[in-house]
Amino acid sequence: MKKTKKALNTYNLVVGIILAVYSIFLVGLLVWTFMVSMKTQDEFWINSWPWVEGTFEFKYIEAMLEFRVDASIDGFSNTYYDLSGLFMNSILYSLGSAIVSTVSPLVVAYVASKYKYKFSKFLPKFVLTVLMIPVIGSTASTIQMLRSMQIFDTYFGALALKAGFTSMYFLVFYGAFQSLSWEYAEAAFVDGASHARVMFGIMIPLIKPMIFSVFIIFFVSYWNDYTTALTYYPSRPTAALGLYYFNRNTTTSAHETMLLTGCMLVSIPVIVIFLIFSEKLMGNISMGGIKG
Amino acid sequence: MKKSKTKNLITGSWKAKLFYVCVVALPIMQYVIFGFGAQFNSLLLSFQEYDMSTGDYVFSFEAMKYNYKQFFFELGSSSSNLGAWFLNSFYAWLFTAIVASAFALFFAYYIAKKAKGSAVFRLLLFMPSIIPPIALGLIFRRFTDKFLCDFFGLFGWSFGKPFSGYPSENFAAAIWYNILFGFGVNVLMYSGAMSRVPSSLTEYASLDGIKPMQEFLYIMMPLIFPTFSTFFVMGIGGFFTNQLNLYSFYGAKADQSIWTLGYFMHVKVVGDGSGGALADFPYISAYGMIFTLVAVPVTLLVKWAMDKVTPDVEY
Repeated sequence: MKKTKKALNTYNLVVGIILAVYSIFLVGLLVWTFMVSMKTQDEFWINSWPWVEGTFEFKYIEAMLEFRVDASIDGFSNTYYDLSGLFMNSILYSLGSAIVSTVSPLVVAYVASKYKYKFSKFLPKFVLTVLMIPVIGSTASTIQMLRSMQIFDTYFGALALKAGFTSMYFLVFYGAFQSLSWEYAEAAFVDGASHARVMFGIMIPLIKPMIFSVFIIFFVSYWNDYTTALTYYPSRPTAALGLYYFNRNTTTSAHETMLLTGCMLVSIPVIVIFLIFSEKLMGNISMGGIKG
Repeated sequence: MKKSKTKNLITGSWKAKLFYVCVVALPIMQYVIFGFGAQFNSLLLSFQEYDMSTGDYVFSFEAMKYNYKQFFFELGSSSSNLGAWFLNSFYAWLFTAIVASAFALFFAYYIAKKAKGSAVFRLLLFMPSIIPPIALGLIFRRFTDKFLCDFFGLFGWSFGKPFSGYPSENFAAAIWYNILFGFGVNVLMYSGAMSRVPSSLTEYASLDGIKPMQEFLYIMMPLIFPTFSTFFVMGIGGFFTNQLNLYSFYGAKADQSIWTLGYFMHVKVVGDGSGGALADFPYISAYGMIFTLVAVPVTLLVKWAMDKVTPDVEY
């Protein structure tokens, strides 16, 4: 017993030190960026240690006004967005995408778990198969399809792509609905409630906290994801995509501190959301580790 | 008896069927169009070529032959980088799916055991997953090339700027970045699975004098193996899609010698953001079809093998 405790202490010590170094590194990275973002361009180039000399100037309000990106995809027409425009695009894109990405698997999971048709039995197996089977290189095809449907680079097109039900959250919702008693619904049906009313008014509210967690996970991931927006919805850049455009369009290195300020500004909303809902977010993600 | 009658009355009515159809219609249609449809269209696209004069894609046997032949031609050609991209993709997969997963398992065990500071470490390990990759990539590039180079220089250990120097250094730096910030979700999943292992099991084992590594290998690993195996199987396709976040560091301008297959496909389709060359779409689709044809049987084979070795555990 004593030996086991000693071995456990050694294990904890080694892993603990590695994790402590990792944590210092990560916090250091963010603190350094925050400090550098308050330096002038010259100070940034002269000195790697932002705390040694020079002054700190909180330029975030200024950056909000001055940060502008050209989002013209044809290379000729100049379509500029400032940070407020980018944030507005981000909110619309992330909110809309998160809603459809949450609702679609939610409603399909509900009917699949509660309406015992043959198709319902097929759905969970189908989703598992889709998740398992890798599909590679269909981006070109999807762009071509969106173009031919004339919804490429439109809000509707961007949402249509996100409205799939074959995500792992279908399985999470399916499991949740299966564990719910159907008796509430039966009582409501006896009282004359419609199927829609039972679904939206009784059954779905019973798993509201889970739905909210999934929604937040989707919201954060769409806020962060710039490659999908770049691929299918490039002319209304989100804040993350705006950062990419800013970096791409700035050929000189004269805007390094502005770029780092932009990085901080784009990250702050999701860090705040994360800190507020960290347990909900992490708890929901770790739920997937129950049984594989 | 009464219950099943009520249930039958509810789900057996035409109203129930109509409701069911209404609910699943749109999501199913979405999958038919953008899931199955996009993949089928990808197959069709790989048989076509782009007509510059009309701006349309046209079918031709020659185009199909060219698109698929192109892949094998480039694979065997010494002037093409395709072989190197395969190798890079293998390294990317090895380090992100294998090495990072191994670290994630060790960290998860520490967190599941609720050792000192585990709550903070759990939070910090996950934090990079919620920072936009473009922001984290841009920050990390500057932090490494500027701060870390100067910091290590203080101890007499000087080296070139990893992200701006030689391509081999760029590749190593990108791998390093992906390991460093790729733990989050894995650690959460594994620690979640480990914390559900009944404590009575580990308590009995510790009474028998089991060491932590033995507990990790002989108790935890078999019990969380289904979770590990699912992750592993789902990660196989990542061999062809992993971009190593090169796009965040370099946009479309990474040195060709460090490209991965995922980055290559992305750059060819998206370009630097102003759109890829439409004429490249057919042959990129052909590449995608070939990769899918390889990835699907490999995934199924690995899944079958994993299922065979997965212990039948209930707890």
